[in-house]
Amino acid sequence: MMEHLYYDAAAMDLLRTTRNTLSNRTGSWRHMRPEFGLKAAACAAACPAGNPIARFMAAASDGRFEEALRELKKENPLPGVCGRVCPRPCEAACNRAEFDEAVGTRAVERLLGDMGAEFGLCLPATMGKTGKRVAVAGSGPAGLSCAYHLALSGHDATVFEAGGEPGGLLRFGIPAYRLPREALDRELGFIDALGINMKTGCRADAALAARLLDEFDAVVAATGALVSPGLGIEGEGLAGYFKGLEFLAAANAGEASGIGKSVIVIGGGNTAVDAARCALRLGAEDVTVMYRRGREDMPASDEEVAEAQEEGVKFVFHAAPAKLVGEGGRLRGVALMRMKPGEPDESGRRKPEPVAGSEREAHADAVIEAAGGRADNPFGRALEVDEWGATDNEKLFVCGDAAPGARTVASAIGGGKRAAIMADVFLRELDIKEVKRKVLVGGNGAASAAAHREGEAAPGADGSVVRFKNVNTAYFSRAARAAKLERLSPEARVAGFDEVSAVCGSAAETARAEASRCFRCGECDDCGNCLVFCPDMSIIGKAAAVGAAPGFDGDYCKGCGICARECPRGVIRMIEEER
Amino acid sequence: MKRARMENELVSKGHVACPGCGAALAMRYVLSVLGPKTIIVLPACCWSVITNRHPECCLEVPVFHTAFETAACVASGVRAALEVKGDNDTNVLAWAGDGGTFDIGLQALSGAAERNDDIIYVCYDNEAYMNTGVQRSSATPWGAWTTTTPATHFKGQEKKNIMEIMAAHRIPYAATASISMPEDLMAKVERARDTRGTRFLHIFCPCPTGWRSSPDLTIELARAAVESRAFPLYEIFDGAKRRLSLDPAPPAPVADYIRPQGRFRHLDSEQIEAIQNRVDEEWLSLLRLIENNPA
Repeated sequence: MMEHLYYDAAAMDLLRTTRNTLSNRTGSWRHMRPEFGLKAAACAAACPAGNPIARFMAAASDGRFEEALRELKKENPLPGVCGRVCPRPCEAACNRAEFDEAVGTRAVERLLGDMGAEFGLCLPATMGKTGKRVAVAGSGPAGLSCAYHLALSGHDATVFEAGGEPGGLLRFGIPAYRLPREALDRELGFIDALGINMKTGCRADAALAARLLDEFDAVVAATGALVSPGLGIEGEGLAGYFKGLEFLAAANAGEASGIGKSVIVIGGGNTAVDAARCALRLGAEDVTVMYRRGREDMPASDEEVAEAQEEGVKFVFHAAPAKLVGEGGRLRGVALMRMKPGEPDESGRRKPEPVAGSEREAHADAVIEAAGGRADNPFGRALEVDEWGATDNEKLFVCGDAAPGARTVASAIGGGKRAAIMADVFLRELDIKEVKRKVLVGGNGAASAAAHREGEAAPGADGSVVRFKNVNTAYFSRAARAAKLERLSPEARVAGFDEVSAVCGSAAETARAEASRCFRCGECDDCGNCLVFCPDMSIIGKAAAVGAAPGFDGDYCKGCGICARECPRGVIRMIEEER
Repeated sequence: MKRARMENELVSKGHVACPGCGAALAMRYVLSVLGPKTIIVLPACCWSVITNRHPECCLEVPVFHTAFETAACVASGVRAALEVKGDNDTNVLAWAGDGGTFDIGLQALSGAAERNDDIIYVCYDNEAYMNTGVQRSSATPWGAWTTTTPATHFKGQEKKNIMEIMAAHRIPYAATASISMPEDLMAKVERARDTRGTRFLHIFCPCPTGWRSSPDLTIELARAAVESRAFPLYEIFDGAKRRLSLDPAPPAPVADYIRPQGRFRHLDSEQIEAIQNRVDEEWLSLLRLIENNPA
């Protein structure tokens, strides 16, 4: 009936296409290509300990705290310590600071570290035993980190500690009000868990040093910089004169006495501030920190200085002692000189010069010298140490304050890790150039021990660091910092050695909220933007591996660069095509 | 951000859109929702080239290439033929550029809309005749350079308001969408698919070639147009009830959208201020329409 209504398509002679366009390789148009690969976040590149910040933030933002702590422990055995005492170079470098406010990374690290009370040590898997024996002299943060990473790499580590308990500077140098002993001891559980041989009461003197070099397959010196140079002025023999580290060690052991009512601390670093705050807690009423330069040149952390001021510590700048004044062998005060900034020295700071005729006397019952300590390495005073901790002796490595470089706990942890990697390279006879090329986070930062153990490249090892301009902020919304610190009242603080600060709110909620603020720069979280926004269907979905970035189809990708522009976290960058 | 779900991938690799083409993305998203049971009617436009030379075609659904002015009426015919065959569930998609919609195909579109023929009409708007060499259309915005409106005599007329023209036909569904927001775009295609009658989608598609912009900025520009309110996202139901899809508050300055584009390079700050004022006015009048008859 209706047949006459139909046209015969063949009779109409319509042109018909016969195939799709897959034979048309539009990749030949391309002059730029996307390069995928995990990059280092600015924070990670700035972290001296090499913490995998974006990685643990990803887990913590999901409430997977045990996994987050496990990620952290792959690089750093002491998150509960760093989470308290670190001066936060990560937060200073945080890309989010240019968006609203830097992520409270240290607070998250602290919360995760303390969650170890619930989740246990969360240690990474150890590699098979090598049978190699490594001696580590010193159990401060550098020695501990070194022994930890050596043990994880399958070596037998033996640590020699002069004191009665492991911890070195963490135990005798950092007061309990900043680092409660239970937080330290909990994380030191790894010593037994990893079978590290801890020999306390063993001071590494020259004789022991020689023996270790003789008996062990490799030796690491992490003996610190504990020799006080003294003030070099008249009156250092008077009663009432203390050396900073010795005073701190006595105070931290509960054995300090004879401090009196008025105390002057000479120095501008954290040791000076710690000594002053300890003096207050030991009953001193009038405590002054005296520094020969200005406030802006003070190496002590701003936070420590502010807390000390709240507690009543006074700061006097541009002043230096000329001599200590005593009566009958007992200190009475200090003869001071006013100082003025002169020409810049090698540190770039202006060298203080005394002002003629400015001498006056200040009363003090005690004077604590807290200028920085000097290393006295029992393995050789004039030892040349490179930035990896290697020395001319192929089996001897140096790390921590005994080696050149910044003197923070995080730097010591990073230095210990580098020395452990170098020792591992030596013991396993690995290709040292290859390892050095692959393990540095951001190509220039701390080493990643996890990358070394797994034989992979550290994030951004080729030097690619994600900066704020690489972050696409269209995919993030503004959010105020969730992790804030609350502090005891100044009166409650100076009454004892209770911990001064705590992170506000419930640990789980705060950690999760703060971690959610992290951009997770350089870390692919499978958001799918590159897949969805590719006009040429040329993104190949990512591999199953966690955090692995996707790849691209070179046969068809025209190199438009939308994927790189729309990647929220800078995982993709465009590079010149090689032709 | 949750990943936008792509149900179907019906555009094959090897198409010949310029690098960074916004129109190629629009097709991906729309076909992802409409699926393989779709017939496309394609008048002269960029996409009639993008499919590639005969005998190749990058689209994995039937495509009918047709004359410039006939997208809507050919789509009406395809629908009628399907009805005769008893096929009521194949989507008929007329896919035209701004030239084929705002100018050359407007008569056919008006006719189909007036009859409320059961088709989905997508105008992918790149604001000029791009594949023929960037000639101005009535969708080209005020101030823009094209090869027929050189910088010394840039376009002096405002962009035609195609959405209100379609609203005046009282079609059941009309919506604007941006390739920078694929989830919103695909939700609107879904709504269009599940409605009967003439459905109209106005999809904003930056064109690096014609806009003289860097190809990697395609999504960024599409987003900036929305965030600055230069291209508001909204829906119109039955030509009457309106709903805003997104209120970018506070809006980004329109200069953020204008500045990265070479086609506006000749404009001074006063002229950009004039565009800003125009955008603000248009936004207020859209809000008034929405307030008067909210969906």
